[in-house]
Amino acid sequence: MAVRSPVESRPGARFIDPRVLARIDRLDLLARTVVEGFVGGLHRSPYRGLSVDFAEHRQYMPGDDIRLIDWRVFGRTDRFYIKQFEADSNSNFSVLLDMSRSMAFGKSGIPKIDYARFLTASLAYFAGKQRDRIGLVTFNDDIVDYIPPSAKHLDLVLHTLDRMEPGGNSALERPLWKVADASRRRGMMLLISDLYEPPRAVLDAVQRLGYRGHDLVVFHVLDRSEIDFEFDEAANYVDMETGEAVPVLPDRLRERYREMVGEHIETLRSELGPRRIDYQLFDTSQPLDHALFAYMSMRHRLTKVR
Amino acid sequence: MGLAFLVPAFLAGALALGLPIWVHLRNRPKTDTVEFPSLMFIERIPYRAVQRQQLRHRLLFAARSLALVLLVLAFARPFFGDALPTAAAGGAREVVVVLDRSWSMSYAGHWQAALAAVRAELGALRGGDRVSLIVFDEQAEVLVESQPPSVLADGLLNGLRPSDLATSYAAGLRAAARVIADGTLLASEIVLVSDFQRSGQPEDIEIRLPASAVLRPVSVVGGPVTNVGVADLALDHVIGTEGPGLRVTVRLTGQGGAEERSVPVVLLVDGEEVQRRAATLPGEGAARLAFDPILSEQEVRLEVRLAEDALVGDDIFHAVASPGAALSVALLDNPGAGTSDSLYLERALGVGTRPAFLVDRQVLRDLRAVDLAGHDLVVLNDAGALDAGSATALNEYVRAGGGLLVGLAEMADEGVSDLLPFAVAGVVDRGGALGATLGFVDTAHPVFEAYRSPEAGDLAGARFYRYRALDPDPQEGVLARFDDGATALMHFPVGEGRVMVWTSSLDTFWTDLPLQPIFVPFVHEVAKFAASYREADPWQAATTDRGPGFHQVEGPEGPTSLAVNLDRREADLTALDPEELLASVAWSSGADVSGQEPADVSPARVEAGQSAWWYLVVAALLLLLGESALANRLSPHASWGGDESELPPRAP
Repeated sequence: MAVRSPVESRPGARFIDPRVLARIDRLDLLARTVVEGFVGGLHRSPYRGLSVDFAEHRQYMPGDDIRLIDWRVFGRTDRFYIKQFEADSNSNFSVLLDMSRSMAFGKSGIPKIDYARFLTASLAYFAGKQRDRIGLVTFNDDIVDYIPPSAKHLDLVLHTLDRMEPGGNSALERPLWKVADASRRRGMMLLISDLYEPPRAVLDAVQRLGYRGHDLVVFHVLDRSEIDFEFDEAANYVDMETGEAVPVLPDRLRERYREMVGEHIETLRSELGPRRIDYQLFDTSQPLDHALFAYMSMRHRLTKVR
Repeated sequence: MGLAFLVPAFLAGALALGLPIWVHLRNRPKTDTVEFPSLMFIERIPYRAVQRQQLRHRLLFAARSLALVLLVLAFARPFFGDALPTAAAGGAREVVVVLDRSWSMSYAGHWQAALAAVRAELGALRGGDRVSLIVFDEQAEVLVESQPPSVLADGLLNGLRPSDLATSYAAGLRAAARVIADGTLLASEIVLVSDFQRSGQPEDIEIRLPASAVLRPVSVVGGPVTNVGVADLALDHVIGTEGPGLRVTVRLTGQGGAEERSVPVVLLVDGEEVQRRAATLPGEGAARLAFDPILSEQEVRLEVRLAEDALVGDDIFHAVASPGAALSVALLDNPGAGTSDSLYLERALGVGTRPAFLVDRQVLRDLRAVDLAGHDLVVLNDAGALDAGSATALNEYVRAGGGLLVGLAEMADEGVSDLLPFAVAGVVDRGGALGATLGFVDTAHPVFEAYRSPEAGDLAGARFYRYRALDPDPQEGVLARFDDGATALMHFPVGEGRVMVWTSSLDTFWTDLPLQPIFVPFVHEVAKFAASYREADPWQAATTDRGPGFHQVEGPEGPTSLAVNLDRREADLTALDPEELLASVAWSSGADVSGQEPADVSPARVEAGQSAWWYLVVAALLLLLGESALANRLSPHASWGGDESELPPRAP
């Protein structure tokens, strides 16, 4: 089953290529670039109001939605101001980032770990602007770094993202169970991983968090070649985590591989959805804005539910 | 009947059989590695090294291997043992002794040395060897062919003598090549015993020998050679004060002398010495010597002799001299004529020797038959009036077979007309213009045949200011006419003889013809025709197998003598380097003279024994066709060697 890229599903969308973002050394600047650019283009977005709590007025700028103009202020001052609302606050937003060795793979674009790093930084920055408390957990088969959610931890999160190096084998169950045990306050948890585990194991690990009342989002990050398997030369394929080598003939394997990856993704999607766990597949060639869309969509849905 | 290969080196191509096997066994899984995040989905499909190391399509492999073997065998050119001569046991040789017996071998000591060399070669033969003996001069004669040495008796050699013919190495060596080709032994050797004259090796004759043969020259020349001989003899008819005669001139050649020397030369006529001269001859070169004329009206036998030296054959030269043809011409002048009237005519007739014209100039007065006897031709050059007796004598002379040439000019009158069937009319004066020219010449007639080609002479260049007209103008026998149609030259028969009439003068009074280059041959041809002169017929058969000397043969006019001399090329003893002769020999295949390879027998015979490669090639092609069909059937599987059932189970 072929997996369509979100980029392909949004013709005409102009987003920043992750490979271009990779040229920005500073993670905070990268996050700001992504987020500010994303927010600046939101005037056409259906997800304009993120909160009902008024925060402040801002002078109208060309491109702002005129429905947000405060006509009362206009009546008093004869100037256009728009109302800005306070976002939901006091919400924990934790990113569970898989930093196993397999996340270092990148053939078609940037390495998956970098893509996940950018994604995490952008979302953290964006969440910070939403006044959310930001936390980060990096793990492989155990927890490597744990930054508890806090409104002041953006810099720490960015710093941790900046210095982390992928390594170790991946295993979701153990670190995610630890996170579930450690997170007393409910919040939003975003799992970013390549999910090289049987769907059953993924469900068991993620569902443990759900049992704690967390709102869960799963970002499945894969390289395009992991989906299409566009390799040509027969060679020994070495597992990046276990070091196991297997002679592989790509021509003979490609179709079967695609089928199995497709089945794996569909299984995850179909199994996680009914459990109110959002699942989103990303390949590393996809602009980060899509992740923000997905995040905002989830936030909007959760807001409505609340 | 054994199997052998003409080009066994091609058998090395069979090593190519091991190449696919070697590649097959050397084919190992590639060691390139690709890091992949997880092998969870990757089926474990190894290279199936075990399967690939086994021959999967044994029939296909066997077909290909067999085709390759057949091609290798075809290129190696197999032949069967009876296609070529079989080797005798013990490395026996076919020794062909080629002995030069040309007459130059009669040089003092050379023939004895040659026989000694042949005996030495025979003595060196081993048991099992076979010997052939060929003697040659201009032709070769196989005296003994491929016989055991014991067959060659010494008496055979003692009975051999040098011949009278010249040397031709090609004749001897070609005969040797034939003997070797017909032989049955692998090793062959040609022993050429000769004095190695350079004259025996013409440059344009190719000598081809079997590549397997060894040519070994044996020279019988022990040291420097010296020789003096008569190379040539020339005879010239001369008219001396005492009448016609023969002048003998000889050319002498000297070789090997250190300095100039005086050589006595003797001339013998019919076996008797008539003259003796001494010629001065350089050490290395030639000289000419002329004898005094010999007066003879009969056929004579001439011999020129030198003192005998080491090579006797060229010390004597034979010749036969016949008196030759000479025409006696009676030139009759008018009594009142000056000496210059017939000057041009007399001088023209005095030139040449074939035939020689013996001019007897007389004054026309009371001519009698006795005055004309013995002459072949009578010329009346503007002779004037003829008395009756003279006219009668001339008439009888012509009727008896004599020739008469009449030149009509100023003095011609009726007396002459009595001899002619027409009247001599008046003088035609053409001096007012540029003069007359000859307008018609019968170039088909022997008199003017020489002028047929444009470059032979321009008869029209002569100018005629006056000439006599004839009445009536003759229509037959006219050979030339002037440009106005008047007769210039004509003839008619009288009895056994012939009369020719020239209507202008034969001096420069009426014409400038005597000043033209064509005058001398014109006079000669007219005189010869008028005198009914005929060249002697050439001998139809002048060859003889008898030696030098004089021989009586039957000619068309009865028995006559012939002189036979030895070929003078053979007298040139200039030596040829035997290595040069070896270098000029073309070998039938390759240049290997080691004698270790099989003898090169007739090409058809060899080729017939090597035709097996054709069958091998055809079989290989058929096999390859079958292999192609088989490979096409197996190709979908043979290309990779696996099927779906061999894949590992799908990953969970």
